[in-house]
Amino acid sequence: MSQKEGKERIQHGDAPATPAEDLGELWQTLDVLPEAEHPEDLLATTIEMVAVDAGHRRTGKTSRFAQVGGDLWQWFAPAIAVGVSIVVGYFIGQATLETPQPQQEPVDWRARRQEILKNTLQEAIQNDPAGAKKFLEKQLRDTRDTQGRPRGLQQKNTVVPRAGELNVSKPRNARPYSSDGPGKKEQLRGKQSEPLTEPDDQPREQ
Amino acid sequence: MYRAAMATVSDPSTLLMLRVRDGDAEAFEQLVALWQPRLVTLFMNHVGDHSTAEDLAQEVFLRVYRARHRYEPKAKFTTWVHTIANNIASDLRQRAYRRKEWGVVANPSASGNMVGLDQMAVAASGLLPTRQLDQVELQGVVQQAIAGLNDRQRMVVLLAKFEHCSYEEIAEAMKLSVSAVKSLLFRAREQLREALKPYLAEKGES
Repeated sequence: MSQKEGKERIQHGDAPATPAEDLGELWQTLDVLPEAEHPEDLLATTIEMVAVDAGHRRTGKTSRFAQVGGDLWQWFAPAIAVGVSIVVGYFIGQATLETPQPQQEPVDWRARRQEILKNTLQEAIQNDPAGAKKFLEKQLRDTRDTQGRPRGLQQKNTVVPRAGELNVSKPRNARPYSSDGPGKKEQLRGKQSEPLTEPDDQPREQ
Repeated sequence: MYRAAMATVSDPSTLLMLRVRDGDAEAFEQLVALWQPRLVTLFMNHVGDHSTAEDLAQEVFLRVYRARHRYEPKAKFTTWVHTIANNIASDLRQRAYRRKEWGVVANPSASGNMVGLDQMAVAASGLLPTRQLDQVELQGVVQQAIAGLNDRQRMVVLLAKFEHCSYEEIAEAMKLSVSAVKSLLFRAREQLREALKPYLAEKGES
């Protein structure tokens, strides 16, 4: 039978019912194929191997997933421990240390300083009003330049004359300015103000 | 359908496997004793190496035991075991392909092997024209011829010859259609016939 005939027979479904019939004369020839020898201990070895495997699987040692998980856990466990320690340490530190509030403290200080200053001034005015006023004027003069600007600003913008030098920014006959009243505004505009009319005001000695 | 199911359950191996599923260790031992020699023979003719065949047979029982809880007697235990055996043989083939460790027996090229068989048979008959191949030589020739088949053809022939499987059982075990199995067996027969032509001619003459 040719190969083509065989294929056609298979396709038409009229092939022999069993492989033995299909193999024909080759079937008996295959009888010479050897049968394996069976060592007596093979059965015991197999049973033991299966038992060991079952034991390992029960403990999860032979599972691939468990192996991979074990390998990962070997690395992740210390990492997780370190991470947890860091987080716990952070929170313990937050709970035990009282860190100053950076915005709240200056506000407290400022209020307290103003309160002290206010009390001091009130006390000074009650005890010696004229002296207190004089003191305050002197303080104000010290903190402002001749044109009424803060002294720090003047130092930045103008050249401060040394001792004995001519101060070109200040007229020779410039009069001292008052801290309040219309004279201050005029002095800020560069005009000379009228002499102070209040009894306690004295012209500054040149 | 019901009759087929009853026939399946009445199969001795299936009954043993049902006991194994329920945790009967003695049944598993009986099952191994019943099936291991058959599987070793099957694998030995498949891979051509006895120790490898024993290892593969043990692997079959490992898988059987691992899968015991999932076993359902829908088909005969025979078919189930043959499916596992075929899977193991496929795994072996894939591993060997990856490692490129095919041996002479396991990986003969079809044409190359045919030439070798021809030469072997012709040489034997040429040196001693009147001599018939003795059993050992014939066994070697047939083993070489079987080794010359591809893996699926070889498995079909071996399941048919040693396990007396029908086309349907082979198809189920190898997850192929019946026509595919017939086609495989047909090609295997043609190749075996070609490889064993000198011997068959001598046998015909005698």
